[in-house]
Amino acid sequence: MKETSHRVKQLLEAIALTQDDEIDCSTCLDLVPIYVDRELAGADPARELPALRQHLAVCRECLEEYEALRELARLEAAGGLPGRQELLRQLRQQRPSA
Amino acid sequence: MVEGGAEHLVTRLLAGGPEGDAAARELHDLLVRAALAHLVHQGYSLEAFGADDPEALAEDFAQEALATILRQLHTFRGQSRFTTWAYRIVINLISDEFRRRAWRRRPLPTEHEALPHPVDPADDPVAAAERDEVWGLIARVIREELTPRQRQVLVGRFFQDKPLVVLAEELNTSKDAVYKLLHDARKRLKRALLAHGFTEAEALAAFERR
Ligand SMILES: [Zn+2]
Repeated sequence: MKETSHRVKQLLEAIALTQDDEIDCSTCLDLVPIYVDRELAGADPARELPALRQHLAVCRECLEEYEALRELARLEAAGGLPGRQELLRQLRQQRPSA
Repeated sequence: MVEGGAEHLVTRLLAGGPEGDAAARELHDLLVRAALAHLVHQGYSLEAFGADDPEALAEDFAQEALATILRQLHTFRGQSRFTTWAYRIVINLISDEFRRRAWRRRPLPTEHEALPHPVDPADDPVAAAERDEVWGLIARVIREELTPRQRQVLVGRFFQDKPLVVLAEELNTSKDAVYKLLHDARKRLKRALLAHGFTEAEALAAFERR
């Protein structure tokens, strides 16, 4: 039952990270652009926005979206997102059947 | 910063009129590219969305994101780049839609309500006994002390990998309400562990020892 032990461990990790007051996913979504931009600017947003850091530690879906946003913001800061045709080409390349 | 153009979008959008319309078209184009970039980086397949035209799929998400962004525009305070603020909306839409569809297409339904019994064959009998004790306590609190809704979201989230958006639909509520149920359930479990003399670190350590 290794699989199940792993799940219990995840639950215990989440319990260990639990705070009396936590922000919800909507608040996280509102704050995450500030967090991402501060991070890309070389600041320490985990210290500036500890409640958001805590939410990202217990909410894997918000964590996934934060990481995705950081990637897009990084591209934007590096000169802008690639153009439509370039992105469509990249998508086609990824498809096993294409 | 090369991004002055995108930052001016806010002012132009708020101004409305022909200038506002032009700005909305520019933002829409940015959102289409953000949607495509997100699909690329996540490695999401079009099939996962039941789509075969990536551009049409990205256009749909961009359109929906644009409507949300225009509705929320007055809440933008300039604390981040406007593009970062806007892209989070399209990422959130696509990610939740992917989770919803992935859940529907999962190979085997896992609707068992019963909690599993997670004890590995013990290398170390002391560790195994401690694991048994921690799990016995957790399972009892889940069964007896959580409300039915707290139990449903906790078991769904941790033992069935159910996305929050799916749990919200099942309970006919919002993701935030599901998060609150999970949070209350975690607080209850944390208190129970402490009341029985386990710090969270000790409880976790019992499952980390082999
Ligand atoms: Zn969240």
